[in-house]
Amino acid sequence: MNHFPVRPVVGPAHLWTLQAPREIQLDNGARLWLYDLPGQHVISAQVVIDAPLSCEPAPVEGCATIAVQASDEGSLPHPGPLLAEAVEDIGALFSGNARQSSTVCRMEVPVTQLKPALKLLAEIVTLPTFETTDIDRHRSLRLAEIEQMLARSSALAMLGFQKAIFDNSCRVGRPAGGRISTVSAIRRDDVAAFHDRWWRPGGATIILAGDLPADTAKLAENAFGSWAPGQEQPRHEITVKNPAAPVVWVIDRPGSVQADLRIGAFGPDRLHPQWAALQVASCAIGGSFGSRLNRVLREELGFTYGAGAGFRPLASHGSFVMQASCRTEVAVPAALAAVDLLTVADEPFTSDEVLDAKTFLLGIAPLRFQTAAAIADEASVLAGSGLESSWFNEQQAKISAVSASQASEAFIDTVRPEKLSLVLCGDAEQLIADFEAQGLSAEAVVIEG
Amino acid sequence: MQFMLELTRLHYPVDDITLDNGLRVLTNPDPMAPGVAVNLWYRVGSADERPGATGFAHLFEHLMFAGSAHVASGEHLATIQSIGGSANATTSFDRTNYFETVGPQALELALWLEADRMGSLDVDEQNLQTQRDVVKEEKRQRYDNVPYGDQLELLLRVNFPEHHPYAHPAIGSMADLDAATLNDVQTFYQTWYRPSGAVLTLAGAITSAQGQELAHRYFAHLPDIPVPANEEVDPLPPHTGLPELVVSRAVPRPILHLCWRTPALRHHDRLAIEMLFSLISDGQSSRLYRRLVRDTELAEGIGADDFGLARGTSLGLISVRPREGADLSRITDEIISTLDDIATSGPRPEELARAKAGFEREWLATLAPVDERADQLGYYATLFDDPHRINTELTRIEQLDVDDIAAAAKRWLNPQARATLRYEVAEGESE
Repeated sequence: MNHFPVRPVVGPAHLWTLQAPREIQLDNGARLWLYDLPGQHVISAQVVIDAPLSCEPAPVEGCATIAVQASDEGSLPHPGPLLAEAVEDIGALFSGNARQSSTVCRMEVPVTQLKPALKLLAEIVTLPTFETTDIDRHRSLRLAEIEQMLARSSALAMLGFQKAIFDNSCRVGRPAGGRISTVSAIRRDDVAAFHDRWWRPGGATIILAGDLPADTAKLAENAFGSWAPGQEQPRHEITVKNPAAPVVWVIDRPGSVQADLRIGAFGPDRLHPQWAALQVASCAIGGSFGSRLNRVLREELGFTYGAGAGFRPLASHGSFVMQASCRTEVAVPAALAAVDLLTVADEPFTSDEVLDAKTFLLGIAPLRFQTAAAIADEASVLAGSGLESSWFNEQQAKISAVSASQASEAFIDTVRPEKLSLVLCGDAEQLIADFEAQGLSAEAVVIEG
Repeated sequence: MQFMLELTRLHYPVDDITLDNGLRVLTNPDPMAPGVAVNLWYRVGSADERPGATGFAHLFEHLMFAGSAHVASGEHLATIQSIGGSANATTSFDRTNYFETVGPQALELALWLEADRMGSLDVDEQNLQTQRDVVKEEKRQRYDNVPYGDQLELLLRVNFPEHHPYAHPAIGSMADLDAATLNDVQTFYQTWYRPSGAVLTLAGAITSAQGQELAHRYFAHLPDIPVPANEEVDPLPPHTGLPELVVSRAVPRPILHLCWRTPALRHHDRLAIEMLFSLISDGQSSRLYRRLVRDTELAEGIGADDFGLARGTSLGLISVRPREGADLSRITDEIISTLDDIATSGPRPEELARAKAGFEREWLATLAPVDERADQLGYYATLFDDPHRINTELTRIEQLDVDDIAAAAKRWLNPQARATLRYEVAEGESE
């Protein structure tokens, strides 16, 4: 047998930047971002509407979600099922969701069908009929989704974490899709009124990514040019921290064979001056297979299938959260080990760890953004967060300049061990007893839908 | 029709060679790609496990990251990520795949890492134990601790006889995993993980000549040792007597699965069945969605799919999440009358055209990133012995007509040949 080849040395990666879109301002206030990507045969079209969830009337929270879910159930030109047929006849796929910052409507379509697809997407956005029977059905389906969500350990843990970290008085502190009581109250007129008031071109971004035909801008202008501006500006709420944090909470889920852990705190948004250093630090602590949390909790201790952590920025503020699922008997030891690992002041990041994290973040970007859909998704997040399309490249440049001490300092300043909340979902009796055995008192909490 | 326009444009070049040691090497050059996908299909899956050793192929997939002659435990994944790439692996019924996507500058390292673990495995008692624990956590997280988590296991139990290769899911039995020894691990490795049992695919920013040269450089020194043929299994007869499994679980709603024994992957009727499932369940205008979710409001959601199994028999199913209090027998009647209607009259031409248009979009989107394209090439080479099918599959779909769909419905989805799996809401769990 020949001998084994020597291990190759990896040369430096070439610098990569996200293509800048062609930007066009429409007269009605919407702007177009056009990403021309030769070879991408499926176009991703996204309309990011400046309709934050803080615009929902409190008694009918969840109506923004119902509005987007029911928006393709019929339009004035294509009533009822004719709309879905027209969309599916051209092989297009419509989807949408209502995020805290904005509502996004998406259409994926082969490039040969771009023209009719844009017309249909504009119909969905501007001329939905919202028939009473459709809204009533979507309300029932949404309530069923909430019930299914409450049966899932991971979802319960996340709802508990959201409640622990954010103040209940701000919209971010409450479930994005509404609660049972508010969704039950949603009627056809609430949805139509929300749509009429907030689905407007002011502040909207229309993103088109793919192998764009030469006349794409004209097609988009024709499709969306008649979208009429609204009367008012939406109010973007400042996210408020839960003044009562930190907590140690256990959500009881009888019969669980694992506990879902969420450990974290109120956190910064993308405009934080040290955002690049925090991205590097969170990658080193919990953003990759070789990160500290996964290496210890999975590869050394075998406590979990995977442990990770990261910052979750919103348009204003956000959170830092570590997550893992562990068998019940090791869940509390895993949680305490995680808190130790998050105490970076005890063991600052080494230059090797920071170099690996930076190389990962910079090197994975071109691979992540291979497709039109991935680029449109990133652009949609930026547009929804009120950022410019150039933000991503500026951020990558900052990441390449982060030093080990900057990463450590930024993380130590931002994620303070004494401010961490621990939220576990699982067998409460066992978990609370395990906390007690460690001299910690945990509170049993109930998550309502 | 518009659908045809794409077909003439779409052609992925595929270079297909086999090294002297039996390793099949496919290269798909794509100069516009930002990186290169490295993808290995080994033709061993959970269907190759013996009774008493279930879950082994998947446990083994974890152990392939636990060290080889020149690579320490965990180093493979951590190294690929630290140079800005991604890596992972999955285990299924008929194969196990391993893959990396890296920038062109790290391609050789990715190949070296894969070659090292194709040539040697260095696992000790301690990392065997750790990975066994990790797999148990994976089973708890993905199956045991989620509502309806035993669906896959039950579907296989309803449709395949005991000890059939497809009778158990890849995650396997934890008791079997506990019984696995280091000796079993090495035996499994030496049996299946050989160049002649694998397909290596490179897709992306690389030429065919480079692909061939690098494959030689990193893999040609590995010895050619034969890999056993995968056990052939005779097709199972259709279900008779309407078998039904009813389970009671702490879940918010019932679930209804109607199942059929469908032809194995390489059968001529496979694509017609795929189109049939698509036109009854994909999208809001599909027949069953329209009927069950929109018009009668009997269901919260529906789905239909085929497992795409390669040996003897596959499994096709129509799944329904009923609305609260919905009459399940009415739902079953609606499904049966839909299938009867299609078997008798065929789908309407516009329904079939719509399903084809949706397939085209999904197909183009799937092949857009180099990692998924490489995986599709490995799939067609391993299970069809024809990687060039990625350039002909759309044509096969286009050639299907309404009579093909009707014939497939009649032959394979006879309502009298169904089996049923039903979840009931356990007493005291309902709201």
